[in-house]
Parts: sequence; structure tokens; C-alpha cells
Amino acid sequence: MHKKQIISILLFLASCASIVVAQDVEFTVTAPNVVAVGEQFRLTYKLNARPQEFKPPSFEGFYILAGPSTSTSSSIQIINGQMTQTYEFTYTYILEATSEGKFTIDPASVIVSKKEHKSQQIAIEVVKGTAGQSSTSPQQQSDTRPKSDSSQDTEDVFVAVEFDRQTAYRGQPILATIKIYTRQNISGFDDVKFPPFNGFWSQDVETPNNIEFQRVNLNGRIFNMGVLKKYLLFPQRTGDIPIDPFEIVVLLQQRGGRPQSMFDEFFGTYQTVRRRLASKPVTLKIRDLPPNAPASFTGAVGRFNLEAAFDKTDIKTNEAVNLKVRVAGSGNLRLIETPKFEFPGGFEVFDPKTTDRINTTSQGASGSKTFEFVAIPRAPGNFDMGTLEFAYFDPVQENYVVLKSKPLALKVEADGSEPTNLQMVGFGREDIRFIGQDIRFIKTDGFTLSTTNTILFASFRYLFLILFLVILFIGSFIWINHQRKLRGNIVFVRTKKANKMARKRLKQAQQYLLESNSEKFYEELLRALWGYVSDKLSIPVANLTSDNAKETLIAHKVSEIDIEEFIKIISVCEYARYAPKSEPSQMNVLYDSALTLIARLEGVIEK
Amino acid sequence: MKSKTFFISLTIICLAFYAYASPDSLLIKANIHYIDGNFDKAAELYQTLVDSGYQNAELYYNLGNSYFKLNRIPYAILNFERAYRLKPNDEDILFNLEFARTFTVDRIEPLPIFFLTKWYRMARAILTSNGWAWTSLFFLALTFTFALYFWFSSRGWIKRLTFASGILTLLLTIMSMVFSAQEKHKENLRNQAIIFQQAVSVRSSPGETGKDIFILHSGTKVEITKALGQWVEIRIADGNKGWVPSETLELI
Repeated sequence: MHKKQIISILLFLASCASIVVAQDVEFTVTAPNVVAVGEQFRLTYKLNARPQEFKPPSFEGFYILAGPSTSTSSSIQIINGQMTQTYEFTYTYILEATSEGKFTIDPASVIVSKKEHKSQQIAIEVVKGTAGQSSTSPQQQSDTRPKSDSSQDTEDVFVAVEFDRQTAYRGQPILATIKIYTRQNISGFDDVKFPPFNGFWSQDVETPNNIEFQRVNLNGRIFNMGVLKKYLLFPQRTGDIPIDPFEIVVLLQQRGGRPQSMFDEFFGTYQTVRRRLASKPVTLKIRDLPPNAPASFTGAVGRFNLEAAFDKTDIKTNEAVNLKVRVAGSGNLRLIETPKFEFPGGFEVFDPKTTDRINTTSQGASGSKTFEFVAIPRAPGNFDMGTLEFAYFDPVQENYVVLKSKPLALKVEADGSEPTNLQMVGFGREDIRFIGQDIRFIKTDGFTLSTTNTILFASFRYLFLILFLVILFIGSFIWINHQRKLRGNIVFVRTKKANKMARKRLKQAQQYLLESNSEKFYEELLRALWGYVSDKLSIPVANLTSDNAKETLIAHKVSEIDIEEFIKIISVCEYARYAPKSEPSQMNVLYDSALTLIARLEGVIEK
Repeated sequence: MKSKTFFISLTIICLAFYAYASPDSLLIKANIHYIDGNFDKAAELYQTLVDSGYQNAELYYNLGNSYFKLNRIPYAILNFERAYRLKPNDEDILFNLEFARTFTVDRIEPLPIFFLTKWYRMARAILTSNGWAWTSLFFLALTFTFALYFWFSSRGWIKRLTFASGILTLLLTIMSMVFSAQEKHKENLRNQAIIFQQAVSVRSSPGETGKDIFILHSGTKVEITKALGQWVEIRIADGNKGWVPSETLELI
């Protein structure tokens, strides 16, 4: 707080000046940045020290109406015996703009303690037309201006929501500034309704509590503009999103009204008017992010850099390790999701912890977000985990950027507890844990490329194969049958006809008996017997002797008596053949016995 | 100058040889691309082979795998189904088909099948049509052999044994012929399709006037029961029927 004191007091206190804390010299200039032609305005130089000399610049393009008028103030503070003294020297000029255009006023200079200090160069824009409610000399404002009617009021006071961009990508911040423009005195606000900004995630940007009005040139008219509020908007949806109007009730102080007393006539009358103002609705166009997002993209839009590292790289099993991932930069930091990172199997991983330090300024939200992954390795080994990837969308370059951390690797050594685990193998067994699922691998061998999948069934080849089998069957049937027949002619048929042959020969023998031709009779009888045995037992006559005939007959289970009978008849016949003469009665007996023998043999051998 | 023309011609010949890649070398190249993770190139090469007429279950399977890795699920399912048609008993094909199906939106509860029918179909699916055809020929040959033994043997027990065996193998021959014919019918019948459009509304009748009954999503298998112009009647596994435009489908 400054206290205005008269110079005499200042001089009185100057005796204490030896303790004055040395200060940096500040030399500033203030002036409105927009004025109208013919308008009087104030230009002030301020200095916080006592000057030895003051050199004003040449105010080219302006007409000096008065000045420099100087004023001085000083204050002394004593806190705990420490005394602080501040001076303030002010040089004030009252200027009038003479012509339109942009003018620069060169810096003024002062000499403080033999050192020259210069003020800043300032630029003043001069516009045509009547000045608004001038801050410098409202009381000098001519009353020739017609009484404000409503149509002019709407032009004189209005609010607007201004955006730094009309189109943005989803997640790209938009700065919304709520401004009030006025050419009248405002005594207060009431019933303020800020837009809800549906479809956006909005964040307040800190603005000074006091509304500082600034003169601006708007289409050749001068307004006092004050910033009411600033928001940083992060679009969450895409498409055309309308912004609801900002609504406010302003209390305007208007000159006019009927004078009610003599003082009113003297000082002029003022009345307070309530007016509801609303900004024009605006539509923002929000574009969706391009579709070719990398896999590691989690919604970050802006410009970032990435750091990721383990807090230690050599650890022991069952010891916690911390992976710190820090994303710093500007953009929608608060909306960034945790980057994906897969620890190898054998690690127990806990949910990541997230901390952020974010400053919201009108340039956008900047700061950093830190993700901490805590993991405990349960098995020793060297783990190479590759790099951690973080992708973001750069709205300026309009492309995705993939950041890669340095390669992450861990060396895990076994701690003491490992062997005890190994001893309890029976307890340690557990089901196989599936950490991922995927399709099976392609088939690389074991097949040859074929153009068509021919179906065999009912095809020509199939029918041919069946026909082949049938022909094979019939052919082999015929062939086997034929073979059987061939063998049957020689052996089988002969065996069957043995009896017939024997009987035929016996009949011949009987013929010879009747003729009493004994020699022929015996010969025929022998042939009948030998022929029968030969045919029946399939032995060639030439190989037949009484010995092997006997053996073969035994093998065919012919009784001893019959065999002896057979041998006896044979030997009798052999003997009688060459005997001089024989009895017909004996020949008769022999014939009969041979006939019965063959009949008996036929019965035995047939079975 | 002469050497220059020689070099140019040599280069052209080399390029021509390179361009004429044999199908087997294409297959090997595609496999290498797949292993290296260049799934788009692998898919392209496999597709080239399929387009040039090769019809291996393994080729379709590999193509399906590549499409799956490219996240083109309907294409993957289509090719796995085609592979499955050709080799119904391959474990890997079945696994990947089932796995790819989990990525589709529609969950359809299939109609219960009578257990005997199920067993019959399972038994029939043990072999392909060709497998059954060869089996039938084998059993026919056995039947004939037994018949010959039966005919010419003179001993009683051989006659009895071969008679029984012959009857049995004759029955087996007929059975495998029937199976072969049925599998052939199944393999020739292309009445199954995969939905390719993201979402398609199934209508009660063909044409735009039909009322929407339900919505199917890409990757779902349907059976085509009728076709009328640009519209086909489909039936899904739970027995529901409806009409969809034919361009939303791709035949297996």
C-alpha cells in the first residue's frame, strides 16, 4: 500500500535513507493501445527511483495537450527494524491523436544514479470515429451523443466465446475464452451461466480474479474488452458439436434519466440497467483420429516424450522391482491410459500406480504423467523385455508418432529361498498357466500342391477298379474249376471207375472159364485184381508189387483177412497160370472169391 | 556395345525366370513371409496360389492363418472352413477354426442333434469320400476272396467261416460305398457360406420390402437353402431362416 505524502515529510525522512535497501530501477510506460482520432488520452511514465534527468521522446503523430505533469509518492515500511522505502515518480502527458494509423512512441530515458534507463517502445493504434467511454476523461465526454437506445446498447455491450481453433482432432485441446466487450460502464455481473461444453472434457485455466479491461479495436470501434474465463477443452466426441451460448446479466451504469434534484443536474444522473446478454452459438468441428493407429496407441494427443527405466537392473528373486514410465509433454495428459507392457512369465505384476503433475495454461495442458509398474520376479534368469512403446497422435504433423524406450532388461539372481522351494516339489506343482492364446502355426510340409480334389467314388476309375475285381474273381473261379477238372480226369474219375473196370475183366475171365481156357482165365483174373487196386489206390500198375499193395491197403484201413485173401488169390493165380492143368472147380471157387473180395474192398475203400 | 546388349538381355532373362516362380517356390516364399511376420505378403502369395487353382486343405489353412494375423476374421474363417471341408479330421484346422470363431459377434446356439445321427455322422467323417471309396474296393476284394474259398473248399469248417466272413465283408463294402457316396454329396454340395458384411439384417422375404427379422454379423456361417435372383434364403445353426442379398455372403 502506498501512502501519498507531501514532499516535506519525504525530506524529513530522508535522514534515514542510509538504510534504504537498494532496488532495481524500473521504468515503465502505460498508454491505451487503441485510441480514436481527436480523443484525448493519458500516457504515463512510472519510475521507482528518484531521477536526475528525464528525457521524453518526441510524440510524433500526437499533439501534446498537457504535460509532463509530475507526481511523486513514496512509502516507508518498517518490518522488524528493517526499513524499506519505495518511491514512485510519475510523468503524465495528455495527448491527442491527430491522424489515423499506427504510431510508435520511442522510449523515454531517465538517468538514475548516473545510469541511463530506458522505457519500452509502445505502439498506439489510432482509429477513425468517435471514441467510446473513454477511461481518461469520461466527464469530458460531450453530451451531444444521443441517449442510448436499445439497438445501440446491444452493439455497445456484448459477450463472446472465442476459440483458438474451429476444427480439431479428437483429444486435441481447444482454448475457449469468454470475453465481454463494452463501451459503457459496467458496475457488476449477475446470474452467470457458463456453457456446459457437452462432448468435451473441460478444464479451467487460471485467470486473474479482477477483470482487467483492455481497449481493443473492433471494426473501427473501440471497445473495452475483459476476459471473464478461460477453458481448455479436450474433445471427446467427433463430428459437429454445438456449444451452448454463454449467458450473463450485466449491470450497466447509464447516464440519463430525469434529474430528481439539483445535485443531479449538477453532477449528471446515472441509472443502473440490468441487461441479459448471450453469446452467439458456435459449432466446433471435431475430426476423428486417422485409422492407422499403431498398436501401442492409448489415446494420447499432443506432443510427448517418453522415459522408461527400472529402478534397479540387478535384483534377486522375490524382490520387488519398479518400472517407472514417465510421459512428459503437452496435450491431453490427463486422459492418457496406462501404456501396455507385458512382463515375461514368472513375474508377479501389480496394478500400476499413476501420478501426474499437470499445469493447465492457455497454451495447453503440459506436465508429466508417471506410471509405476511394480513386479516381483519369482524365477531367476536374464530377462530381455525389449522396449516399451508409447504412441501418440501429433495434431500439428497430423500423424502418429511411436516413441520407444531404451531396451529394458533385468538380471534376476536366485536368492536363498530357492532351494527350499525345490525340496518341496510335491507342493510346488501347479497347472500350466496360459499367458496368451493364438492360432496354431501354418503347415509347412507334408503335402504337395494339387490343383483339383478329384473324387474317386462313381468315377470312371472307380468303376474300372470294380470291374477289374469282378473280372479277376470270375477269371480265378474259372481257372480253379478248370484245374480241378484236369486233375479229376486222371485220378478222380479213374478211382470212380475202378470197380466197373474190374467187373468188366471178371466177366471176361468168366468167359474164358466157360471156354475152359485156363491160361487166359488166370491172366484176366490177375489183371482184374491188379487193375482194380492200381486204379483205386492211384498207383501205376508197373510199380505195383504184392508188398507195397499190402502197405497201401493197410493205410486204407482194409482188414487183415481181406488183405490175406487178396495175396492168396494173387499167388494162386500166379502159380496156376504156368501149371500144366487145373481143375475147373478150383477155377470156379477162385472166381467167386475174387468177385466177393472186390465187392468187399469197394465197400471199405469208398469210405 | 555388344557386351552391353548382352548384359541387358541377360538381365531380362533373369527377370523372366524370377517372374516365373514355380508354385512350390511361391509356397516356400509365403511360408517364410509368414514366419517373418509379413502376414500381408504371405496372404497375398497364398491367395495367388489359391486363385491359380490349387485346392489343398493346407493351403487354405495357411491362408486363413495369414488373414487371421491381419485381423481379417471373416476371410480367415472362410479359408479355415474351406480347409475343414477338404480335411474334416485335421486337428489344427479344427482348432484354428474354433479359435477364429470366438472373434465373431454372433453366438448361435445350435439345434440339438439326435445322438444316433451324431454318431453316424462322426463315423462317416472318419474318412473322406475317397478314403471310403478305397475302403469299399478293399472290402470287395476280400469278399471275392472269401467267395472263392467258400466255393472250392471241401472242408466243412472252412466253408462256414468263409461264408460268414464273406457276408460281413459284403456288408462292409456296401456301407463304405454308401458313406463314400454321402461324403461325395457333402463335398460337392456348396451350400454353406460366410457372412462378409459387417452387419446384415435378415429379412422375412426377398427384396427390400421384407421385414427385418434378425441381424447377423460378419464371420457367421450360414446354410443356403434357396436362391431367388439376387437374394438367397439362409438358415443359421439354430434353425432360423431368412433372406439376405447374395453379395453379403461368400460361399465356402
